[in-house]
Parts: sequence; structure tokens; C-alpha cells
Amino acid sequence: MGAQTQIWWESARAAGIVAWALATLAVVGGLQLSTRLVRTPAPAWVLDVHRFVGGLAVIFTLVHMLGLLLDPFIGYGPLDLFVPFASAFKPTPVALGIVAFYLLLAVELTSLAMRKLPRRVWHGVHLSSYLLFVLATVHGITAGTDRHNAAFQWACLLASALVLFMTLVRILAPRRGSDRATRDRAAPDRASRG
Amino acid sequence: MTDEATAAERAERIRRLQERRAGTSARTVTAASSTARGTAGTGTRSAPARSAKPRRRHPAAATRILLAGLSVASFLGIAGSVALANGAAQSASPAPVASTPAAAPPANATATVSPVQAATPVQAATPAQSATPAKATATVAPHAKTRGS
Repeated sequence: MGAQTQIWWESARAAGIVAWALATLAVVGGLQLSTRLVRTPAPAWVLDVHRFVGGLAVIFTLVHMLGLLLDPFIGYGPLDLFVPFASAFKPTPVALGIVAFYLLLAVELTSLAMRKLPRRVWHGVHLSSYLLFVLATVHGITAGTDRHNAAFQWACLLASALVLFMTLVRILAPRRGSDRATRDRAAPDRASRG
Repeated sequence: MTDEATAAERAERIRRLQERRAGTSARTVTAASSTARGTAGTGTRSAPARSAKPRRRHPAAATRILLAGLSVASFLGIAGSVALANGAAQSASPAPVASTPAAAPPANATATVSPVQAATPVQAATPAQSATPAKATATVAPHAKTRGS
């Protein structure tokens, strides 16, 4: 096997890892926006980075798929790339990756068209990014060639722990809106007491 | 006596106020003159001052560039390290192991070939390993179906 043919395979592997890392960063950024766990970065800055990283994740996922398509050894066709369970190689893990790609695409497109969509629709689609993160991580662990790499395993572990922690904070911590409502309710009482 | 003291205090206060105002106006004058110098330096004397100002950059513009650069650098770094590892694995592994899976053993050695030895090429052709081009050979049978598509 020549070096030229391996370039696509190596590109696919590298782009897959980078896309997963960027998607994780986007999820963490979104959770930071909703939890305000860290006070220092301004929300506008975090939102901008969150959007940009999401776009980069889509680009690197496309590079990952292009690498698989052009690799002569693995011999993937469009059917293997876009239809779940069509691939002969590890059908289930590859199908998880395909579904994760569709979710990523849905989240990105609805975010681009956010102002034209009802907020409930956008939010509902956006919540699927949790599932997207889980599917992408499981896809990387089960189908990835680098799953035996210690650095990759540690990265998966730390990223999953961080996302889980922030999700728990998001669920368990009181919402900012309810805080504000409580303050608003309490303010007239204080004013009347003088 | 007290009147003199109050008058002195008042005078002192007025003097301080005037000093402060003078300092503020001096800073304003300095800033205005520096802006004027900058405008004159660029050669757009007739243009309004706001057009001479540089366009305000987005707060996260630097972070965007940094993130994009880091992503591309990681991509290239990972791809390079994978290529290096593949190259090292190829140079370290003996060539005959990969190239002689179907070689017929000598007639007198057929009885000594254990099932484990005979199964070695098949093991190398499992899907997990066949997905790694460095370990794959041209004679990998199980993945031949997808290779042609």
C-alpha cells in the first residue's frame, strides 16, 4: 500500500478526532452559556465561540467523511457514508456516527435559521446535541482505530465527565429566570416595608 | 480668625478644583491634538474624524483565529503522528509475515503447522485490523466486498 493511499485514511482519522473534540467544546460552551458556571468570560464572547466551534465541527466532520470516501482501501461509497447499517464494516458503530452527523447537521442548520424558527423548535433540536455528543463519543470508542490510544481514552473520559458534570449543574441548579422572578416578587415587598 | 480660616479653606478648595479641571482639559487637549495628528498623518484631513478610526474588531475575532489555527494544527499533528507510527510499524514488522499468508508450506512441514499459525492471516484480516492500512494486506478477504464499492 502506497503512502498516497494512506494519506486519506490518516486524514479521516485525524479529522474524526478533531471533529469530536470541537463538538465536545461546542457542547461545553453551550452548557457554560446556560449554567454560567464560570463567571469570567462574557456571555457574548462564549456565544460567539460556541457558534464558531460548532461550524468548525461540521467542517471537520465533512473532512472525515471525505477522507473515508477517497480512501481506496476501506472503499466507502456514498451509501456507506450516509445510510445507517449499509456499511459492511462494523455496521452499528458506523451507524451511530452517521446518526450523529445528521444530528450535528440539524443542530447547525436550525441555529443558522434560528431567527426564522419558533424558539421551541430551535430549542428542541438544540437539546439533541446531548445525544449527538453521546453518539459521537460511542462511535469514536467503538469504531475508531485510535480507540486503544491512551490519550484518546483519557480525552473521552475527561470530556464525558465534564459534560456530565455541567449537565447535572444545568439540571439541578436553580434557573436564572426563576431567580430573577423571585427577586422581582421580593422587590415590592422590600419597597413596601420601606 | 475663623473667617480667615474658612476663606483659606475655600480658596484652597477652589484651587484644587481648578487644578483638577485644568488637568482634565489638558488631557482632553492632548487627546484631541493626537487625533488631529493621526488624521493629518493619514492624509485625510478633510474626512470626518470617525472615518479615520479603525474598524472595531469583533471581541472574539482573535479567539476565532486561534481556534481555527489550533484545529488545523491538531489535524495535521494527529495525521502526521499516525503516519509516522504507521511508517515505524511497517519498518519494524518483518515483510514475509504480511506477504506470505497463502504460501504453501513444504510437504514435510505440513504436519507441524499448528492451527494457530495457520490462522494468523485470518486474524490479521479481522475488520478492526483491516481498517488500519498499515496492518492491512492486499489479500484481506473479509473486507473485499466494501473495497470494491
